Amino acid sequence: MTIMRIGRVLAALFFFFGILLNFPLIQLFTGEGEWMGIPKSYLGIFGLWLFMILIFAFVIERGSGSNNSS
Amino acid sequence: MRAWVVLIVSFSYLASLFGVAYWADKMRAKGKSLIRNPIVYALSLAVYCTAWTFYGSVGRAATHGIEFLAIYIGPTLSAPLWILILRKIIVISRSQRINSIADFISSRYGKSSTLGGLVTIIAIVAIIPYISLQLKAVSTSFELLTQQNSFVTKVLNGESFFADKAFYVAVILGLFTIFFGTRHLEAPEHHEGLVAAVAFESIVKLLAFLAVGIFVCFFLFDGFGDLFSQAMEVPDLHEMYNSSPSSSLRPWNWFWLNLISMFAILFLPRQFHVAVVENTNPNHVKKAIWLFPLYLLLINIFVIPIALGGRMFFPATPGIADTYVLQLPLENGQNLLALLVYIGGLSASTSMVIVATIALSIMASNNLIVPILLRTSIIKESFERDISSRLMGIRRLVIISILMIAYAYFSSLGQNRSLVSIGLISFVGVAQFAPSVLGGIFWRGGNRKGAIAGLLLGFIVWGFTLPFVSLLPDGATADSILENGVFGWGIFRPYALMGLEGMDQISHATFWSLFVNLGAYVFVSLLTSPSALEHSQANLFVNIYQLERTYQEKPIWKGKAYLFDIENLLARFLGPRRTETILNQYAAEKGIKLTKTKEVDFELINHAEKQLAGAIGAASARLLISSVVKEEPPKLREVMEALDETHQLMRYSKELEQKSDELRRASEKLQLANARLKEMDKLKNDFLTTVTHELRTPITSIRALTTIVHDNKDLDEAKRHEFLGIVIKECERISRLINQVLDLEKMESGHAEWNLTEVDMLEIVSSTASSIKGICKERNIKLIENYPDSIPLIIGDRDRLVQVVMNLLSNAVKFCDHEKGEIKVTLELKEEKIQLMVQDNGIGLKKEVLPYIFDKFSQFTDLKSGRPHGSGLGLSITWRIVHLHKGSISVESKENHGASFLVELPLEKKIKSPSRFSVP
Repeated sequence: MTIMRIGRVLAALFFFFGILLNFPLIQLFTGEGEWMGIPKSYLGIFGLWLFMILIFAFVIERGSGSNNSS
Repeated sequence: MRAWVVLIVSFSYLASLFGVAYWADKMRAKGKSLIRNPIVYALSLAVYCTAWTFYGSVGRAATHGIEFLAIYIGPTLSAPLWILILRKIIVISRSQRINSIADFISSRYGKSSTLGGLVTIIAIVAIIPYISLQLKAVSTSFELLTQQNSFVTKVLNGESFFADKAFYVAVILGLFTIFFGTRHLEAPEHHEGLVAAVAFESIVKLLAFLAVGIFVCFFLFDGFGDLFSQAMEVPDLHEMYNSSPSSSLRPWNWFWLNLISMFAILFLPRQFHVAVVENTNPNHVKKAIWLFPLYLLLINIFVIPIALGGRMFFPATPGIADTYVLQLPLENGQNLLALLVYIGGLSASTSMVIVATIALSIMASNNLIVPILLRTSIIKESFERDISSRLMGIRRLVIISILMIAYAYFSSLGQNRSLVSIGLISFVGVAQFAPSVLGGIFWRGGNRKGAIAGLLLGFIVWGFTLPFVSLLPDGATADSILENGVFGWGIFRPYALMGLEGMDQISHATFWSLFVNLGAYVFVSLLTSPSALEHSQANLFVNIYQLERTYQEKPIWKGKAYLFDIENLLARFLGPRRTETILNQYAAEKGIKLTKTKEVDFELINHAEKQLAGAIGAASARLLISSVVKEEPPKLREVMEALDETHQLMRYSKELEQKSDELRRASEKLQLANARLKEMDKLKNDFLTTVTHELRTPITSIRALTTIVHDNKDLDEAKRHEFLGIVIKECERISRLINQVLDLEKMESGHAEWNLTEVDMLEIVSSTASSIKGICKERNIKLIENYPDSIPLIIGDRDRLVQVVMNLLSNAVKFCDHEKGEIKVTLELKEEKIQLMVQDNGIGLKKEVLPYIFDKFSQFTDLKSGRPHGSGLGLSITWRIVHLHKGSISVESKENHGASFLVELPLEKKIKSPSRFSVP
């Protein structure tokens, strides 16, 4: 993948996560509730955050791995 | 803890920073750069995490809940856009030798010194409180650790001014900054030592914070679960972290905080400095897109647990939440851990102060002081030959001044505000750069007047809605202004401008300032026209990638100057030695010889201007160069023509690219066609070879037999009869072969004649089958027939279809088992298709030959006799006939388990033209 194509994929991810991590959707990951004593808000936001980073890493590392020259 | 211990540790830490920087510089001199890798780049971006993150986040989390996370999630969200935005800014800055955000904006809008100055002033006003916040953090943490009273108490008690730690902190950091930042004048020569030290500090602060986090979670409490369950029993904390709808997550606040931190990560002067100016390779941005957010995530993982732990440990005093990180280990007797935390906080503060101050000093000296000196002719007319050292002096002075102002702010105002709110005010301040920078790199229409209007209005609104209030003396005046507006005008209330209420201060200020800023930038740009230089710079910035590809970075000016003048100018600002290197390099690159008394061309002038811009900024460099170059003032028309030319070139290059793309595709197609032709040619040759071979065998035998008959008159009758019988058979074989070849050829070329009528497959199959009954009986083969009572008619050529059935049946007979032969013929109607199945129980077919069975001349050697059966054309012809009837034929077989051929013919398929079939 060329750097510009990675750029476009990433830009799409920006919009996707930007909407997911703002109101109203962010309420799905916050609010009342807990899991093994840990509040849902903490787990929800950090989990989503980590997921987002992993996706970025996947897109970038896979994209650059297949075509180093560009 | 004793003060001297803490002091010694602090100084040792600072000394180790020097060590890292020194080492990095040394390695670079050896050619092994430490900072030229994406991990160090990502770590250097973490200068974003200051004392505010280190101490303030915990405070915020303890009192306001989860909302502080927006400051770190915002940059993560926007990170994927860096390939489009940050990378472009870096590429532009490299080509233009830009060394600060003020320089970037000034250069984009026609190298305007007004804009450079304006951006610098905004940056200084916005950042100084932020720096003072770091001073506050260092001195507070020092005092906490040494358990002394706040210096305020001391000053109030009449103690000496110099007993104030923050003052010493400011001085020491100032010296440190000078050491790091002002050794070379020219910025593009990267401060490798500085970047290495900042990256090192990022590691230290992360480790320190993780250490205290683990301590709180796993030593003070029994892990995350335990800590959270205990905390959720405190009503206040439960309300913040475990309620629905989340009370600590206000929709608009969250949105605006996200937005300003997206801008801050790019446009804070220190971020711009590490991300753009010190960048060694634009492609490092890629890895930083996920590494840097990962760093942010890690440093924030324990913020909430520590905050909750602190709240439970010090239930009575939520006001000291900013210092929980230190208080928790101290209160539990973990002095060493507290010392480590202190060092972590120190590293967070020092890295921010050093980089921010260097960035501001470059901006201030290049965009404020040098332009003023140039305009007042102090430098211009001075006869001093080398003023590069004087510029360095200016920069050092600026560094010290910035830190002193920050200190003054700290001691007069900064006390009563928590760390976060001061930081956020700065964030909103630098967010004002967003329209000019983003517009500048994507929109050619944005111009200088628009940028000035936007920045100025945004700055004023920001000033009025945020810092203005904190400057007001406490008391009745402030209250009245907040409530009734300036001069009692209700629309001028700092927290409810135009009467807009219902937002918190930060969201309110962000909304209004950016709205006004963007609006002014766009409208003024649309309503006014840019100058020639603005046009060419706009083109350079927006189309940087295309220009890089077409090597069209030529300056538009046509001017003349003497090398002597240019050399003098460079020498004065960069020093004679550096000037010599620059000119020699240029001459070597272009393969020319420079003569002092000769006039030089505009390319060299442009090169010199860029070198100068690297040292003193684009606007000042332009001013200086124009003082020694006899320029024809560029006319807009000329610029437009040049730009047109550039555009045409760009378009041309794009077209060329497209053309070459098309050519490449066409040649690929040609190659494919050629390969096919070759293949077909080979097939034809094979075909001919096989045909001649097939003809030769019977002819040889005919010739041999007839010769015998001819030469031996006394051959007995029985033998003669036998031989002639063979001759007749061989002749039949030849004529059959020739007929088949002709047949096939006709079908392939589409010249076969077809006699299309309605035909009854039942009749064809049953009559053909009965015609072979005789031979079956002879060979002891059992023929099993399965037919329906009737079957629909189809359109087809009767004779050809008979040929198909005959071919299949005679093949079956040929290959049937020799002792217990069995042939099964099944005809049925299935799914709108007539299916004919012919099965035998003979030797079957090898797996390898199955794919080629319908090819011409694929013969099957009888394993027993070792001789091939037939011409090898029968199945090929069958395949053609079936396909010309829009049907299909397939075979299934296993070695020694017989073969079964399946022909499927569709019902009601109109066959278009009787003479020309197209083979699918």
